[in-house]
Amino acid sequence: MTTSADLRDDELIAKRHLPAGPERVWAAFTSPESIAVFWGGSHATVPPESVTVDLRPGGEFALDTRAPDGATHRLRFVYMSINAPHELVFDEPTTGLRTTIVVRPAGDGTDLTVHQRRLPPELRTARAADGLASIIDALAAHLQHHEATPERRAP
Amino acid sequence: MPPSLAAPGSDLDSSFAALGDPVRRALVSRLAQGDATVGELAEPFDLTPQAISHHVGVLRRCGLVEQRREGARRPCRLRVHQLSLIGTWIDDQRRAWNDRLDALEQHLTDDGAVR
Repeated sequence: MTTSADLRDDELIAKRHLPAGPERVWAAFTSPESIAVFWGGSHATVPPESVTVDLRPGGEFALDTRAPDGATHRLRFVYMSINAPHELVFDEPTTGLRTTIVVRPAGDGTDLTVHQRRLPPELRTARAADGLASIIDALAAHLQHHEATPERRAP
Repeated sequence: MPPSLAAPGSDLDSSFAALGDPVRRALVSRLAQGDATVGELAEPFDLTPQAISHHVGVLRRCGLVEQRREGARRPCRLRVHQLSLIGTWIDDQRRAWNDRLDALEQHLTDDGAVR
């Protein structure tokens, strides 16, 4: 499995060419109205009034996502660095996940990349990063160990 | 529920938190080899069964371990499904972000058209 490396290293999550200049893309990521429009993708809605953006290092960015069944999650992020309109870095304290969004002019539009990494343990509390490789190894060992016998069902 | 629209589920959060402890990671590795009672789990460690019980409780609450009764024994067992969720988490992030960027692209296109 390659997952262990993925989780520990800076990982390219998505890359997209967008039909708009860097300023418009930047505005889309930093204005509550447009965050509400796209953040939930096709699976969830984001109530516009739930989005708060305090665009400064250390400032909070938060929103609600509402699933089709009505289940609502409050998501909170903290901006780590802001370099308009090129690079936006924010952390999610509950997961220890750092997201870096890079916006570069390309042709008549913009190339956008999203990178993520889990923060090293010393930068967060009670989170596992260094142990994940061994955990994934344990999973592989388990699957190998139990290959011959079908998985018992949880009661 | 679609895979992780943004955040990993709270179960996954608590799993990550639980696995922040080296003793609990060692317990998970041990259980990957086969089921074991708290007493058996305690053997390789310089820890009391009470301390091991505490760690097992944390692993149980986040769904990584289950405990069943077999007469007087209460063996612990790894819940492989929960463990595998950690492995698929990065793929979930990719799906969620690609879905989000689809919506962003649409938004920018619509927005551009009316200007």
